[in-house]
Amino acid sequence: MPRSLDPLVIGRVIGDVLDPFTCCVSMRIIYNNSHEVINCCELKPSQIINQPRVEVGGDDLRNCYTLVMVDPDAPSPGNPNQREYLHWLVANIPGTTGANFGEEVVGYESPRPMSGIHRIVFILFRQTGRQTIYAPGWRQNFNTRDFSELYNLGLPVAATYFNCKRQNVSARDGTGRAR
Amino acid sequence: MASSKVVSTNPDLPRDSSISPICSLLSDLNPTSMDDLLKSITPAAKTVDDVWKEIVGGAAAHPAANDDTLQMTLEDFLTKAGAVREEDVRGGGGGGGPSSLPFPLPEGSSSSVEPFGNGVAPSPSVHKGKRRAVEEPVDKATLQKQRRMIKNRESAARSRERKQAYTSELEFLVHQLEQENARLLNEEADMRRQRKKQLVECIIPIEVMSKPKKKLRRVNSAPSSL
Repeated sequence: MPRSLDPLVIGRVIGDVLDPFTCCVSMRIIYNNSHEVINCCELKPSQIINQPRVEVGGDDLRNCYTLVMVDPDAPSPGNPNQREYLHWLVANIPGTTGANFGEEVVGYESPRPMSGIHRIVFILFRQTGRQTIYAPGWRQNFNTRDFSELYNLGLPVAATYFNCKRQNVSARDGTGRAR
Repeated sequence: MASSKVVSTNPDLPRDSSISPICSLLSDLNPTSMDDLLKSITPAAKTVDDVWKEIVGGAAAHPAANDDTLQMTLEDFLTKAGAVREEDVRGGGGGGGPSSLPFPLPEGSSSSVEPFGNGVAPSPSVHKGKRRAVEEPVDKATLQKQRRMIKNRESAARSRERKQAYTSELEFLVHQLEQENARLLNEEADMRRQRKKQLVECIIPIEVMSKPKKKLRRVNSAPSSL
């Protein structure tokens, strides 16, 4: 897909989180067996409570992949001083399998945006071989670029993102009008 | 800081309208001609256009990059503008500096700004109301309004981006699915043709082997010979 039409570029995921890369491995992310993530779709916090099924492509069982899930708009898109907030980190995922076959380095934390519409980004890296990846000390202010450099992961091989905003049931008027 | 961010990141604003607030702002405070003013502000023979070109050029080269650097460039420029102009007006006054920026900063110290405002005593001629308010950052309400306007603009820009990105993604998916669909239909048609051929080949032997015609034979009745 030409750069200017790539949703990752238009949505500024490439820029804020990632550098330009060529997608070469398929990655499917499905929540609740019914909501597949496509770029820039919107999911509600209630739909993403549990970790999704992640299907990693590639053609070799021996290749290992690392999955990173971050929120670059924490705590709010207008003031992202916690960019990026790390929600999930799974390493050593064998090719052609899923995230549940990898090692969960940082457990899945369901995104609960407080203000604004947040982008939640999934990034897949191909590891050079099986390696030990350590959890950072804290989830906020994670930097995917630095992380990739630290573990020599190179550019991503796949990425996708969805939007999520706070689910509001107004107690005042009780109409439950979504914000 | 937020104000400069708008000017640098909003691609929808044509260059002219982005520059004019700054230019009109500057011209409001000093009744000298625009060129003189600009020359005094940027003694290093750099005009507004040059600096602006740098900013835009920087933005074009790194479209999604560092808003921070762009902010600083514009702020620096305004700092220079503020500092130099103030010196011009007050005859080399010592105070001010960055804190007496005419452009409102959220943490602008009002005390150092006031003398600046009095010293300049802008000629109350043909101003748009908005420009005047900007010159008096002591007015917190206007500051807040400005900030809110900027945030809203950013939010609107993000919303447009989202819409564009989603449309783009859908278009791509449609294209992909159409191709896959065409491919699968072709495959199915092919397989059907193959199967039909196979069946036709098998049918012929069956047709050749026809059952011998059954001849009627009397079994339970006697021949009629009357």
